[in-house]
Amino acid sequence: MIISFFASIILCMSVKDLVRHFFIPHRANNHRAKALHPKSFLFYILVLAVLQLSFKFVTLIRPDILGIATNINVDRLLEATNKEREQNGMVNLELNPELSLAAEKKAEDMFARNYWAHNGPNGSTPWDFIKGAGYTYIYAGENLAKDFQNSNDVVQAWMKSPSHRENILRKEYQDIGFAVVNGVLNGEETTLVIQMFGVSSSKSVAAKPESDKQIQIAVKPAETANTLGKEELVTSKTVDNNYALGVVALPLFDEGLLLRLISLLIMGSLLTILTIDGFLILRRRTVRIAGHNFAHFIFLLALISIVIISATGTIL
Amino acid sequence: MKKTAAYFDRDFWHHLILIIVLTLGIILFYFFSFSRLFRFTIGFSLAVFYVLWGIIHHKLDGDLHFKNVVEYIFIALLAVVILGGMLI
Repeated sequence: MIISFFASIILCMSVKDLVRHFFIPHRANNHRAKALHPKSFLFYILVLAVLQLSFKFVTLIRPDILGIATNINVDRLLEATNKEREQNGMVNLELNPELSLAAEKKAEDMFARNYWAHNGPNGSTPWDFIKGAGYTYIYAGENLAKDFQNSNDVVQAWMKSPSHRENILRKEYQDIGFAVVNGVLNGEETTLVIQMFGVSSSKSVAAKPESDKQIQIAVKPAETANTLGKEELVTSKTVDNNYALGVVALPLFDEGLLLRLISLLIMGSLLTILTIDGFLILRRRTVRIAGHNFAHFIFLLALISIVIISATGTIL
Repeated sequence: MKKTAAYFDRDFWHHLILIIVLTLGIILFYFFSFSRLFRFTIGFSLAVFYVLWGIIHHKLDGDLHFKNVVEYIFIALLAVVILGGMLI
């Protein structure tokens, strides 16, 4: 019905009239740009809903064409981390298999116990996983990230956060370990990135240990190493065993990006039409029955902010 | 003239309330990044608030019509569909 309504309008008008009808308020469109009429909004809603459902369907049957693009790998994370350290006059960190194992076990535990925190619901701390992997540390630290799409964005997000940045640039650290793991957290498909830092007690450290900081991601003074009990390390069935390389999924089109772009295009167009419509109505001092353009403008602006925010991953 | 000034004064406060609530919603949305369901709930609540705001605002202005209510509902629905597509 809506489509036939729009089709009948289009067929009966010249291009100039059509533009005027859809974007300029005048008598024929009841002094409100046709693109802002309730029927037009219903049309946008239906188009978006059909597109979203089609995307979900294609994602299910052909994830190689349309899907969630992720390209996070350990080599790139290490390179980006060391680049930041180099730029700040710090020595490069070496990839340590024990810290990587600790990161893997931490990721497994997060998926198995379903938590997004430095400390587990059973009281387990990052230091337990580090010691459990056989790494005896003097200083250690942990950075977490989830829902990012590429390695650089993860490191850049950490660098923008003062506490995570402090962790990456800490001069005492000599070793680093990573785990990049796909799984289900709180019922949502998630890519977790665990970054663990440390300096082993077997290596010489010039700096004296600092006071015990309570911030979970910050350093902690040395403790006597002890291994974790078996009950502490639950292996998750939802975890893909591809930690060593990272998580790479590169469909032809990124579903999330495509949906965001279409949504932003619709909202951006509406903002422009609202501005033109509001300006002309104000200038002509037309009295009409309609919602407030300014209120719609503010609401759509807030929605655009939300869409942009939702595109970024989370760090902890 | 006095009525016009009062009208603009009231309009200002109405829009200020709208801006404050939407800003708070954006801040909450940012901090509830750990759960898509929470984020969707925040977005949905903002959409419902917007419809209520529109109804109350037009009622107080004395120009509440069914057409206005439908317009606010459709804009809120557009927001819910956009958020649903990204978060669910």
